[in-house]
Amino acid sequence: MVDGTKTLGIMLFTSPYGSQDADHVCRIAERALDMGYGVHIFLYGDGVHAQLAGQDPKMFYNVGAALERIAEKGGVIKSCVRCSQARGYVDGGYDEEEDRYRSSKSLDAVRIYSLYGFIDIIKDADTLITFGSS
Amino acid sequence: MDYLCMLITKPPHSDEGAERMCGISNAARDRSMGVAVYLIGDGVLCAKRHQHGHVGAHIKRALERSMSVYASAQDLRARGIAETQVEKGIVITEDIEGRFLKDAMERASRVISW
Amino acid sequence: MPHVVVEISHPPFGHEHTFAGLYVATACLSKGMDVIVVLRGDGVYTGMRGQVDPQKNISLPATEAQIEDILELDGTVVADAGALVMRGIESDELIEGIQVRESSDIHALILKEGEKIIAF
Repeated sequence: MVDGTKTLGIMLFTSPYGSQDADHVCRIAERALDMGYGVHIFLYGDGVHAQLAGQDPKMFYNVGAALERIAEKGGVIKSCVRCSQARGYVDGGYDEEEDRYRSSKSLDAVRIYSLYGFIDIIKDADTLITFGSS
Repeated sequence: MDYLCMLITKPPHSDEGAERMCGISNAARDRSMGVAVYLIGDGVLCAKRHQHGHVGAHIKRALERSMSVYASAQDLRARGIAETQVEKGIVITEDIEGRFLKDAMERASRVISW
Repeated sequence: MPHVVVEISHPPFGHEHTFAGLYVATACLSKGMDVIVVLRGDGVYTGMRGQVDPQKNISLPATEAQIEDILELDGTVVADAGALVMRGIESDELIEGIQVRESSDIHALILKEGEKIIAF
């Protein structure tokens, strides 16, 4: 029996397609949601590239589509505003109503957020796993 | 019993991730913790039998020391590694994510991913 | 509040990992969490003192100042003794306040204190 009230936190630090890390993150997140767990993902460093809208890989696992499925299933996905701004994803200020920084380039499924979005995950998730250590 | 659950994505010889797995999993067994190692992605290369060097020896020793080692069937197949080429005692599973999650979420007191 | 271990395995500037990891450590401390930063492998280079204005010289933030902030906020920073020896780094070349520990002690520390372990 799984405890459906538990939450899995995941940090992704590497970009999609350059390694299998983003695939692992999405596969584990989807499986966790299917098992009834909550899932909170934080995209950090080059991991924010996973939020790019319009990904269309021909022979690779589609990370963008997977993130959209994860959000549809109730997973929460945030990305670091500092990292996103550096990489050109942020094109507006903080939107209070939406509780996210504005971006026309990012998937709706991903909310650009301060680093404290990750600190909350560290604090609150029952289990934390991280990808992209090297 | 305290229980350590490790998720390894790194290959055995070119990265410190697998080396770190050896040190910390042994330290956990020394403290009578249960240990489970989950190998995914390039981490499944740690499961290949007849390896020379630290990681191969550690995997053998880990199994002798009652650590559980699981490897992703899909990742092994994709890399052309058949069951007969995998160190005896390693459990090959089609649902590595499900097994890992059940262990990590319901049983583990410590979870490490490298 | 969980006890957090942040592992740094990279030198200070070649990759974003080190800055990003120390940034997380500082943020966790500012929220009242207990934090241990572990410098291991090439991460021990991040423990060396005497950086000269990296912002001016190479347009990158000073990780030495980050380590000092972490120590100031009562975070713990430990460096792997074997990794230091391998790289010829003496303890008097480290930022004041960094503790040098053997690998076996660091493993024990991680297992004891690492309720949340974040690897960079």
